[in-house]
Amino acid sequence: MNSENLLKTPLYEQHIKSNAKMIEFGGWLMPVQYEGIIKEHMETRNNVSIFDTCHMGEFICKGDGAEEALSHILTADIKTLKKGRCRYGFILNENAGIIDDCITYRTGQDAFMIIVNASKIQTDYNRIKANINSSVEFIDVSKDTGKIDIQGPASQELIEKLFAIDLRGLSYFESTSLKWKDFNIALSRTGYTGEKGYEVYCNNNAVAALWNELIDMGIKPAGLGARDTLRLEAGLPLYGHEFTENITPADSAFKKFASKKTGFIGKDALSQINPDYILTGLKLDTRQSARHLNKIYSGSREAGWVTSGSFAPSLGYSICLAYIKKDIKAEKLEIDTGKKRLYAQVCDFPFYRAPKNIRC
Amino acid sequence: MIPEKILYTKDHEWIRMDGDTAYIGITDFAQEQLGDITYVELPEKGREVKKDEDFCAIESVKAASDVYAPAGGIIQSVNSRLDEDPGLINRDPFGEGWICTMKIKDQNELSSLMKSDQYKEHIKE
Repeated sequence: MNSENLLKTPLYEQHIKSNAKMIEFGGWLMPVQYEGIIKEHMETRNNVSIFDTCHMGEFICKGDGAEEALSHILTADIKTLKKGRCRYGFILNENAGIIDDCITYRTGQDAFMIIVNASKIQTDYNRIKANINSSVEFIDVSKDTGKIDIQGPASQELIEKLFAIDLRGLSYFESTSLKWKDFNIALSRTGYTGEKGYEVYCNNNAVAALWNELIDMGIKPAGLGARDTLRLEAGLPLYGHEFTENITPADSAFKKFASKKTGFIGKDALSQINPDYILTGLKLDTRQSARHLNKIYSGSREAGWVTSGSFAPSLGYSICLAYIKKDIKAEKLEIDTGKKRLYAQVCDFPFYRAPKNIRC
Repeated sequence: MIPEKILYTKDHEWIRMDGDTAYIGITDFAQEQLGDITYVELPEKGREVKKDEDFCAIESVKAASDVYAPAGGIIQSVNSRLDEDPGLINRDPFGEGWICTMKIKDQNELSSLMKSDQYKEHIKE
């Protein structure tokens, strides 16, 4: 692996010190695991883990006209978004194809922060910039912003101890800010694991100190491997798999995040789409896994393809998300892994739900 | 971890002779490369396997790998504990994580395999 051209987060040295196995992800050199994917997955479900998500992108958009501009570019309802809250939605092209999925925070009356996927930072920046009035302030602060995801049933107690704050009043998709050792910290009750958890933002010059403090408190880091098994069990999409520019929100239940009444780029196209494929959950009666792009069959008929597949540590069997032809009614399908055929059963997702009293 | 009294293949399988019977598995290096093993496709008892034939498949969370026979012979027994607990290979690749036993057809086939110090060099490359 030629790691010379890959970007490193401010936490790179910490990962090496923790004996992480590093891989390439979206142009970055990231930890895929430390002690083991399954161990890290279970630690997150049973206790709490920390994830380096510094590679993700952050944009600031503010000033007069910011709300109107973002309302037009994003499918999330920005006009009704209150300060201290955030919303999930899409950036679409004119054909309603998904350029990226993102979360937008209102940080002030006319101030917003948009969080985007690491692999799409430049694309998203260009896209938004091209569709925004030049009088609106729009800056890419990704290079200066550090982010740590703290996820798991023990996350609230941990953060309350770490920052000496009371999080009881912070509801799901709500955010707050505080000062920690002279550093400005923002955090939201959001995440990508299906567990109660928080995403913590700070300046790059603070993130290593924050990570080290958490490690010193005995908190275990988890890598991208566990991040993927956790999000898949939670039925959460990954850009490049469930979403691409050739896929629209109409193709899945996530269309509810592109349903606002006010106009946005791609809305006209979206309203005219009658999707051929629908995003579906599949569970396999085996530990064997299907993988991204494996073809799916109903008898001899081609039924669709796998978008994401993995063994699910919390369930003990393998699961997939897949696009299945809308007119296929069969509940039992076959997946061609290239080496063999695996039997799969259509099912709802999330595949795993955290116990009610600690669910996000 | 590179136990002494066993032989190694360049594809990171190991074989340990117990008279006529051989225990076969994958090395610590292999399990580390794979990560958490999630599934082992054990070979059938009684199956005849040629040297270097892929006779077993292993899946981990992030990868998959074929296992090649260090020598030719007949599969005698398989480690059925791996059905429910494939992580046993990660935890104890040379001991409890053995994959199968085999009755070796031709002991001469073992002469091309590596001893521990040769294997140690091999994984350094």
